Amino acid sequence: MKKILLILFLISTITCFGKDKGNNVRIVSLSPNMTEAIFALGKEDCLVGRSNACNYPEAAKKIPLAGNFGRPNIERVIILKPDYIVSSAMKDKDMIKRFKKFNIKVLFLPAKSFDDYFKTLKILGKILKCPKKAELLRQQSQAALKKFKEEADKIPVEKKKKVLFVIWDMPLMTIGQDSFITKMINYAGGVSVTAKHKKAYFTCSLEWILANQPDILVFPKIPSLRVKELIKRPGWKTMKAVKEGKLFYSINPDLLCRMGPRAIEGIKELQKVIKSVK
Amino acid sequence: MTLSRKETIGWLLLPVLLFSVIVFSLCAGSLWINPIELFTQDDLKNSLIDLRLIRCATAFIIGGGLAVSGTAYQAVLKNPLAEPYILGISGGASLGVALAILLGVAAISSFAIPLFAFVFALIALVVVLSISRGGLGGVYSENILLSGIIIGTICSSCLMFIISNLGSNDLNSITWWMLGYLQAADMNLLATTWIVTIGGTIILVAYGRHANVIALGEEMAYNMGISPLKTALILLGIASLISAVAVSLSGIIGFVGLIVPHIMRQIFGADHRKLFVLNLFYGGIFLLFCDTIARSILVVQEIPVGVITAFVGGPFFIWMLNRRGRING
Repeated sequence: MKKILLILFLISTITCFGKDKGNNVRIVSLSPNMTEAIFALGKEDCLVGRSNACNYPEAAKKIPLAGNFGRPNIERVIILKPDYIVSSAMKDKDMIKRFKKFNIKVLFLPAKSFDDYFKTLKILGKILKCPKKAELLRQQSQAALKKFKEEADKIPVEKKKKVLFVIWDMPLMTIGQDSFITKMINYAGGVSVTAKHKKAYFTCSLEWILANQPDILVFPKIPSLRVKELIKRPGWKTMKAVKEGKLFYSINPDLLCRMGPRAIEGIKELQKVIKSVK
Repeated sequence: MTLSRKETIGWLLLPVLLFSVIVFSLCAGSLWINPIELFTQDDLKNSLIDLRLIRCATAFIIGGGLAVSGTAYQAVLKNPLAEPYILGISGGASLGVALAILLGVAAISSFAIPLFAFVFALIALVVVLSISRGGLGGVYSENILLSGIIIGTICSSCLMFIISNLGSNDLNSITWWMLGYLQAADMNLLATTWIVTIGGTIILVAYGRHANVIALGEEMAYNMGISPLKTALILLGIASLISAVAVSLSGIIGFVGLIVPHIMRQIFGADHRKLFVLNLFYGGIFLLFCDTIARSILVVQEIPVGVITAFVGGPFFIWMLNRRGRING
């Protein structure tokens, strides 16, 4: 009797999975910006696994974990039986080959600029069978960017506020030319003080910052307690922006550091900050 | 006491080198300040010089402390590869820092990292010394070295486990810490480091004669009426305290504690009463010089100082070794 029950149970589960697969594409997202994009496309039903960094929207947290950011847990992924794995970062490029054996396609879609994001939308639209929605989303974002650019262009170059975007303070990590955050600051009507340095992220010398005083300091990733302490440190305390209190640490870092649907909101937040400084 | 020619030059060169390296470190950086204009008043210049003075004080005391502690280790353990981190101090401290970052306390206060580093370095040290006690009757130095390596390995595997679970952002701050960073965040911590290092060096100088005897071997120490075990523990304890404080202030900086003592011993001979003082100064000068290069070589960007100490110190050390080989051969 027990054996028969077990066999029945097995058959039922197999047929269930079979049905499920017939209806929907199954997709695992290993980066938060992809997860957000899939939700924005309204295709969260297809999402069967996520990374530990995918925390938005709230509903995303209920989706089973499939690994860390850009680092799939092979066993968990196989249990989730996806058709696709999408990620903007892939720590181990051999994963693509390894998953091929299980008939899982790995799509490595970089997210280093708005163009990358638009490409990602197009690809997601295609595999999730919602190209129109994806195109609409792209047009909306592009229109918003155009509006930001028009507004930013009205400010003469010499009057643009110089922003120092602090990722971490010990050592001072900041953004360079290749970071999309530099572009976001431009869209918001400011300039990044370290925009000329040809790198995405780098360790900057504090002396150089003192010699090229920024007007505004933005610390999205550092807790306010630490900011209050660090501005008393030698070097920091003599900065013009610190003396004038032009410090902003309440922006949600996820809006600025994820090249996804909420990047537009991020630019809006930056614009508010830049406009508030006279 | 008659001095050899090499030694006389070494002593005479010390104040000259010290002065010129300090001036160089105040002038050089991402913005060059003309030495003649060092004392003219200017807002930007003042804040730059403030910043550089603090960095100068940090680099000097850390370099000096590491070299002094390396000298003591090499004397007691009678091993040319001994360096300040060999007793698991760097492993313990790195593990502490990784924990501070993992638990999120590092993000709240800048005291968290030095505190965790110091406490864990001391824990590692106590564990090393107590497990090596088992075989202390005989060859103590080998026992201590081996226990240090074992604890260091255990710590680093825990560290690797934590690192594999950290996000990329936190990873950056821990790799930087492990390469050494000389911008002291807090004046009190810097002052503590100065007091411990200078005080420790004075005690070591007082034990200089004992260090000389113990470096010759345990039997010799017994014959001279010195308890090798007790002396070794005192010397190691003080040297470890100095390096633990240095590690907590500025992370792990390699090479200084290994090569400066060797070079000093070659130039000035093996009298530890002199060596501790000389290492304090020359170690400080060496690290100060390396750090100045690290922060001025690429404008805007900073290079980890450990990279420069290896690049500057490595070739110099090889040259010294070869030269000695040629003279002796």
